[in-house]
This record gives sequence, C-alpha cells and structure tokens, in this order.
Amino acid sequence: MNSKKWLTMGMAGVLAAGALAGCGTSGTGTSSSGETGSQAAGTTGTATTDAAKTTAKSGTKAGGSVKILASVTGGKDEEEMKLFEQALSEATGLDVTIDKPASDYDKVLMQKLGAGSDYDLVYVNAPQYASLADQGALLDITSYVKNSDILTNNIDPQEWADITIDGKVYAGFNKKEVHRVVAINNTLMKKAGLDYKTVEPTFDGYYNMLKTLKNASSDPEFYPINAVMSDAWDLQPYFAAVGAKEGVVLDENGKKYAPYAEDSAAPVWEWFKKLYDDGLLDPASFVDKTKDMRAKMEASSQKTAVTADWAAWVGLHNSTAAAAGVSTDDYEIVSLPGLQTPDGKYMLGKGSASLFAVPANAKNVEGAIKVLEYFATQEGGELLSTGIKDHDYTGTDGNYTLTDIGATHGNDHGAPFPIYKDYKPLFPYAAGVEEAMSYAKYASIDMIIPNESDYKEIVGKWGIRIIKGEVFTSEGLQSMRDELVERGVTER
Amino acid sequence: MNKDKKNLWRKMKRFRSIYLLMLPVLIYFVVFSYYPLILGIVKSFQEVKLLGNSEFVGLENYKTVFTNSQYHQAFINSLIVGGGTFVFQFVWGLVVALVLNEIRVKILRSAFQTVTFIPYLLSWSVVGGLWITILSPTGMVNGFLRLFEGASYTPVAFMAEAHYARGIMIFTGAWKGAGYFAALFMASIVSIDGSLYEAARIDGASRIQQIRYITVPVIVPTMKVVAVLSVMGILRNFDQIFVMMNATISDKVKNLLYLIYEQGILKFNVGEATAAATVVLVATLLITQAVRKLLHYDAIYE
Repeated sequence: MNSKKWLTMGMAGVLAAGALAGCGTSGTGTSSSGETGSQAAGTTGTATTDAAKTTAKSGTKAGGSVKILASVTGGKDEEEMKLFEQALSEATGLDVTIDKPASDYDKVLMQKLGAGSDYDLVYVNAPQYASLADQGALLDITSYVKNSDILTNNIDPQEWADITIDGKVYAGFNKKEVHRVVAINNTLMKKAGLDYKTVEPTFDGYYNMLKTLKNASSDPEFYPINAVMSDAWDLQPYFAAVGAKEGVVLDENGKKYAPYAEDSAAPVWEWFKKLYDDGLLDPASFVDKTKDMRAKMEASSQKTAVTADWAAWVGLHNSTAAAAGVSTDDYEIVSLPGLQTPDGKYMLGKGSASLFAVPANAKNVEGAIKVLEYFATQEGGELLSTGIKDHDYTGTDGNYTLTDIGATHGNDHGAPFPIYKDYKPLFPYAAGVEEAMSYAKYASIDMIIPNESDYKEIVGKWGIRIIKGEVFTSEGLQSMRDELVERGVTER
Repeated sequence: MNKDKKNLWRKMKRFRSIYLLMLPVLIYFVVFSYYPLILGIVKSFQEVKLLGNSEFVGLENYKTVFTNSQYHQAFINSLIVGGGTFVFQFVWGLVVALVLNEIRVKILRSAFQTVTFIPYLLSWSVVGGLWITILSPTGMVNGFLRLFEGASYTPVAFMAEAHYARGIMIFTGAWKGAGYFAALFMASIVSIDGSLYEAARIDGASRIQQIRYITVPVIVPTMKVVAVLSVMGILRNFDQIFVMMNATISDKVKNLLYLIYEQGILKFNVGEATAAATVVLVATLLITQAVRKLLHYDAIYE
C-alpha cells in the first residue's frame, strides 16, 4: 500500500474516530419545563411568615465545600447562578459551587463521571439513577437518610419508597414530582354547550364530548384531542378505564410486564383507533412532541381542546394567556382526572423522579446531605421555586412581591413544586393549578427502569400501528409484548 | 533498501522546517483523535463502570453487537439511508453544478448557487424541524394534496409512515448537502480552459455534447475525491436521525450511531457502545477501501 493509500485510510480513521470520541452534538438536556411556571399567577404573595419557615440549620453537621452538577437547578444565567450559590452557601454554611451545562446534560454527566470528576451531588433522572446505581457509581446514603430528622420528617415516606432500589437509597430529591391530568379548553367546551364537570368519565362520555367539540368547530385543522402517541406520553388517564398502569409493573411472580401491552388493554387502543377513524384524534399526534401538543393548546392557536399534561401546565396555559391580555372568557384551561377505573377510581401518572444523587467518589458526603436537607425545607423550597430573596422577590413577614426578573422566572429555579411535604408557596398558583393538584391523590409514580426509552419507543410504535389499522389489535399487542421482552424491558 | 532509507532521511533533513510546521497538527490529531480512538477500542473490551474499575470481558461486547438484532437492523438502515443519501446528493450536486455552469446571467447564477447552498449551512435542528413541519398533516405537502384532492382529503402524517421514512431521510439529507457538492464540482468546472468549449462550438458541438465530452470528463478526478470523502460519512449520520426520527419509523431509520448514543450516553453502557463504534470504524475503513478500488482512486495521482 503506498503512502497516498495510507493517507486516505488515515483520514477515514480520523473521521470514523468521531464515532468513538462522542456521537454527535444534539444530545438532550433534561428540562424542568414540564412543570415550569406553576405559580406565575400573581406577583404578590402572603403565604408564609419568616418565623414559620423550617430551615436546615439544625440538620446534619457539615462544613467545607460541596460541588454540584445540575441540569435545571440554580440561576437562569451566570450572574444569577452566583447569587444562587451564595444564597445556598449562606443557608447551609457550606461553600457550594454549581456547574450547570448549557446543553447536552446527559452527555456532560456521562463524560464528567467517566472522567472521575469529584462532584458531591449530581442531578439524575429516574432511568439514569437506576443505571448508575446498578453500576455502583452512586453512594448508598440510606443510613444518612434514616439518621436525618429533616429528610425523614419533611419528605413523604412514599417518595423515599419510590426511589428505593433493593432496600437502598442513593439520592435525595430535587423537587416534588406532580402528576399529569386531562387538560381541557373550557372556552371551547362552553361554545359547544358542554360542562366539563358533567362529562361522564367513560369511553362513551369522552367520545361524545370530543365529537361535540369537533362538530362545534368550523376549522378543518381542529382536532379535539391530541396526545404524544410516539412515546406513549401520557395516556394514563385513558388507560385507567381498564385499570392499566403506565410503564412496567411486577406480576404476582415478580416478573416485569407492561399493562399497556396486555390483551386487557385492547379496548383503550381500539377506542383511540375509533377517535382517529372519526377524525377526532389529531393525526399529527403520531409525530407531535410535547411542545407541539402544547402549542396547539395555547390561546393563540386552540387547534386542539383536550390534552394530557402536567398539572402545572394547566396553570401555565392560563397565566400565559392572561399575560398576553386574553380574558378568561376567551381562553380558560381546566382539568379532569380522566376515565374512571373499573372500580370507580382514577389513575394518573406522576413524573418520574428528578434527583440529586451522591456519586461514589463524593468527597463531602455530609455536605451533600446537608444540601439535600436544605432542599427539603420551606426555606430551601423557596429558593428552588421562587428564587433568591431581593433578586427574584422582595418583602418580609409574609408580604412578598416578585421583581421584574422574578416574574420572568415563573417561580421555577429547579423545583416549581419543592419536595418539602408541607411547603407553602410564597405566591399563589396560577388559575387552574389548584384544581389540577386536587387530583394528586390518584397519581402514582412509574416503576424506575433503566430502559424507559425502549419502553416508550416500542409501546408508541405498536400503539400507533394499531390505531392506524396497520395491524389487528391482538396482533399489535402480541408484537408489542414480544419486542418488549426481546429488548429486555419486560419478562413476559 | 538502505539507499531508500538514506534518501528518506536526507529529504526529511532537507525539509525539516516544513516537517516542524506539521508538528502542531500532528499533536492535535494524536491528542484529540487517535488517543480517544485507542481509548475507545480498549473500552470496547471492558465492562465499563463510570466510577470504579472497569473489567476486561474479552469479546463479550462484540458478541452482543454481532448477535443483537437491533444492531443488524441499524446497520442495514445506516447503509440504506447513508448510501442512498450519498448517491442522491452526488447526482443532485452534479446536476446543480452543471446547470450553474450553463447560466450566463451572473446575478441569476449567484442567486441559484446561494439558494442551493444555504441548506448546507443550517444545522439539522433547523432543517429537520423545517421538513417535519412541511410534511406534517397541516403542512405544505398536505396543503398541495388537499388542493388536488378536494375537501374530502384526509391529511397524511408523512413522518409517521414507515414506508416513506427512508425516502424522506434520503431526500432531506441530499437536499441539505447537494449545494455543498455542487460548490465542490463548480470549483473544478471553472478551472476548465475556455478554449476547449470554443473549439467544440466551432466543431458544431451542442451544449449537451460539450457537457458530456468536456465538462464531465474533466471533473471526474474531483468526483472521485468527493465520492471517497463522502463514503467515509455513510455510517456516521447522527444529527438527522436524532432530530427527525420518531417511534413509528424507528425500525426503518434508526442507525448505528443513534444506537451507540442510546447505549453509551443514555444508558451508560459504554463498553457495548464503544464496541459498536469500533465496528463502525472498521466498516468505514472497509467501505472506503472498496470504493477506492472501485473508482481506481489512485489513478488520480498517476
């Protein structure tokens, strides 16, 4: 082989090496937008007094510095991040520094951990938490949690149960995960002569509501219902009709299975097919992402009237419209808990945990626990939601006002709903959020699995094929089950 | 042999200042390309733990890659979409270059060249979003079809139709890159001696004949270089798939690099991901070598 050949082959090698050195630049960053702006209704608040605050000062004894790798938590820009670090440091008595990558969080997390960077806390979502715990990359902090009054008393025990893997806990909480509800455009409902409170929570009841909404619209591009079908997000309010839980669950023998893929779920898929065939389900649902679905729901568009979205987004739609000068007569989003289960209850999906895990190589574990404790207090919740005092808001003794900067931050600095179980927001929730939050009692978290993306892809793909009529329902469900097993998501 | 070595050493000594200039580039490639490459290959034989000691597992990761049907399908998808995009983009770019060469009005030529080149400058998040919108049920394509078919027309979510998926990826990929190929071909076309065309015209050659017997033969070496450089990227298409893929069409378009991203970045399964990436590297080298042979690439320099 002559030198030119070697040169060309070398160039090919260099180009292909990119695949090994890192694959692409378009990775996803995790966002808290699912729950952003839940409290954006008012700019003045009177919720709590300073004396009533619970603080972390009496918690774990710790000092030194704590280094955090965060995705959504902290200041919105470099300047505010410094103020956030300062506020967190003062409150905990630690020297806290936070690294918040501008984008590609998943990639940065992998690179930082792979390079052995010494963080004391790293932000992880539920699948990452499961994968990293499985690899032994996280520290077991169960004993720290048990010995901490704040962590045990200020957080609902169910929250801890949800993130316990084989009896061990490896992380604390970034925020409280809320649930997804059926969001409904009440203005269009009224125009169609419907009262959302009297909608029968059955297949027929919802079908009739959607049909009436469609008939009342002259817009050919209006479809009364939209859902992100391609990753089966979030169909739980509808699958409740057959009592099927979203995600993966364990059967009586401890084997994992997906209720949406069971034959008993067939009536729901067939109901969706009927909605599609009758022009009620937006055909773009097969490709739409959540941002597309939300864009069709917002006041300026109103191309759909029924979606399943975070409780907080009910409020965000309303507050965004109000900020744009749209009156509640012209646009109002309300919520329902979906279809009733066979035993007359409801089932809603709760967001999978967003956590701060302690890496196995953390240098200041006590410091990390101290920060987690602070996040689980009223004071910590205020910092994580409304933001920094005298920057995002001003005032004392229960009379608070959002600054111009604070108003643009939508009461979200990583945790619009803080994890502290008795948290009282400084500012009232946006219109519609209280109602949506009242359905929280029906919500439960999905089982944490490392291959959640495979689950969504497979269920979404076969579900859409069933809805489009490309396969018979029983055939599609069998294929869904087979592929879930083949890719190690389920075991039967 | 000794004489050759002596000559080589003498040449190196003579041009040492030039070789010294190469040093920074060499260091750059060693640090940023070959070191990660070797590290990646080593990791492909390990069960990698992000924190803690990784364990050597022999060929276990490769066994997974070669026996897992997902990788088989992804390899087929990579070849079809990557290969299809390359061929379509190549022909499209060539046609654009030839058309550009025939446009005599300068402002028109500049406008045409700009319009065809702009998509290449845009990122896949822009281009992907654009085509997803155009192909959506309320997009331009459905709008046109409704015009022809009337009010009873049922819009099609093209991006959710598995049988269109590869075609869409190939078309949009070629649409984005054709302007770049055209610019490369144009660079070669403008260097053709004008007297060749003049002589051909005197001999009565038509425009088509001038293209066929002068333009195309002259730019063949450029076409070979473009072809070899492009086939190196056939298996490396990530951004487009990341932006445009959805669950409905994943069976048809999910490629090796996307799978590597899923395994390595999302699931922290670095050992398996690097094994698959090494396979991509070897496959790229083999494909490149095959194309070189096929095109008699070395003849360019003879």
